[in-house]
Amino acid sequence: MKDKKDIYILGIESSCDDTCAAVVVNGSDILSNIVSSQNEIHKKYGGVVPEVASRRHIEMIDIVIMEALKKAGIGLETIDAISVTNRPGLIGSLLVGVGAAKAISYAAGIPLIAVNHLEAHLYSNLLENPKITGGFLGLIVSGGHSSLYLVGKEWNIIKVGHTVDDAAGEAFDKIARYLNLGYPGGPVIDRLAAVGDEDLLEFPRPMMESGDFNFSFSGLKTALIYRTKKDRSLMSENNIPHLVAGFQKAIVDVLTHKTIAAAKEFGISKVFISGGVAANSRLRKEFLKKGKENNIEIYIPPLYLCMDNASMVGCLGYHKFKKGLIDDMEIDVYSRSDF
Amino acid sequence: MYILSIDSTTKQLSVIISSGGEVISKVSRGSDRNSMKMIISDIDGALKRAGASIMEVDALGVNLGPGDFTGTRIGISIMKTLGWVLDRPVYGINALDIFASGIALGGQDFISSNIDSDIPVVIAPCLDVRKGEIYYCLYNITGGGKDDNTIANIVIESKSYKINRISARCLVNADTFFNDLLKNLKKASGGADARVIFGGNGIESYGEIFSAFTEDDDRYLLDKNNAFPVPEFLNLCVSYRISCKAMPEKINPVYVREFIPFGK
Repeated sequence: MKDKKDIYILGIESSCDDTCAAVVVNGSDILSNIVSSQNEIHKKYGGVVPEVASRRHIEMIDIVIMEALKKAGIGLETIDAISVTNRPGLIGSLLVGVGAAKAISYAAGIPLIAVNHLEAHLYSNLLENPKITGGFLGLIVSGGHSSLYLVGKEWNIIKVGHTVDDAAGEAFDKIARYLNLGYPGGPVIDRLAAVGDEDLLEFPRPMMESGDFNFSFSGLKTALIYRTKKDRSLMSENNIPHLVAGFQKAIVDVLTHKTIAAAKEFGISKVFISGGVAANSRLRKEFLKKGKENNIEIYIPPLYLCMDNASMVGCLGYHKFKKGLIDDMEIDVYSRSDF
Repeated sequence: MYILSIDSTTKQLSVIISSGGEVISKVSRGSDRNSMKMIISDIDGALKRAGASIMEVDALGVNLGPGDFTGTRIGISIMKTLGWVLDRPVYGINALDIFASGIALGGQDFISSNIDSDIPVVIAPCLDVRKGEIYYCLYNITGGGKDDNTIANIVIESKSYKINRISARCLVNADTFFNDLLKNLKKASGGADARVIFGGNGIESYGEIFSAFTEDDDRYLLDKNNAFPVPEFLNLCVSYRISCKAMPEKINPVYVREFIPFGK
């Protein structure tokens, strides 16, 4: 039975290749978190193909939303607001989720809230730690983004750094594709690197001392490719774990070094990490270690909340709902959007 | 009984509501890539004009395309979900069926004069689906009877006719279109002797091919007024499906060809 004070949010997320829906109570209690992954479909292309993604979303969207409600054990009449990602992302993907959200909102008379996918990632740490307050540095690191944000006490967000070329996850995917390791690249490299010696092959640390908080991962990828062209033996089954472990370490070093440096620069003692690459075990370990060394609290969500998911969308939706930030039926979708 | 249908497959976004076979409200305007912003307010506007609420709608219809990928998906995602939330059937109609109905009603004189003289008439909507290809299908007009391939009922001079699909939906190269068409006509019963009305935007895009073939031949008629799907005919097809208590099928966009990334 629903307590009248409880606020139920239906979150919907379809900005890239995963079709997601979730029911979140009071911004932190996840009653259901459904993800229909398209990894198997995009595998053969070595990356997300937008037209293919949106064809799949439209087949799955209603099924996923119904499943989220069913798993939560509630009907639409219990939902206080629908929260949906409308930016940034692939247009053809976003509009499937937004179309479904609008139709539910209109037909069932439920308020609609449009949310920014990146902002939702920043909120993802609140799902497990609902009491933590604003005033932190946020790192979003995924297949599409590698950015640093200053988040104030009132959750006002300022971007302080971003990748100037590839996102970290993109670099993992591209290298995995180059080495024929499969897709998505992150989890495969994480697994292989665990049995490799990460100090055997040294790779450059791009922009490590650039003085700003931007990243660059394209050159690192090229460095690995050059290296393997010079020495084909590096691509042997025995050497691949060492190769990708060295590559992974370079990425992890740059991400942790610059994030900690930014936190120090801005005098911030809390760092939130989120996005698909935050699931990388080496990255998690290194952040926790560096955090301890520098007296900085590190928050990283559990693996399933690092990937794209609708719980974080429901979480952000809850906070917007509390502030009365309701949208009208004219919301559109946008491929690019920052704060 | 209210039927609400949407066509978002072209630059024109249309919402149409009918009751008892009559169109009672329609909102149709150029969308200029703003379909997502406009669609709910246009549905709401059409309902208000009809004096009905969304809860009173008994069935839903949607043009499945082929059409603009983005636009088509907007209409389908909205209608699929409305059907689920309202617990109402959603009827998806292939754009070729909508064109066929429009072409048939546009060619009433041609149809009745030929049928009165026992000459069969075939309707051939031809859609320009890019890459030099035409997507088409053949339909005949019959006086009555029940046919699983019937797509709509029309009335010409107070006589009732059925429009029936008599071929598969075909995707062919524009250059070989007429060879393919003649082959399919021969296969269809009475097709070889039929008079044919062509319509759809394909006859405009491939104007030279069509006029070269049909010129000075009174067996053929080009209907240049049906280059776009007309919402009234979408509604006509939906109404027919409801009248024969058809089970709604899976609602997904019509893609004429498999999508092959990177042209591989």
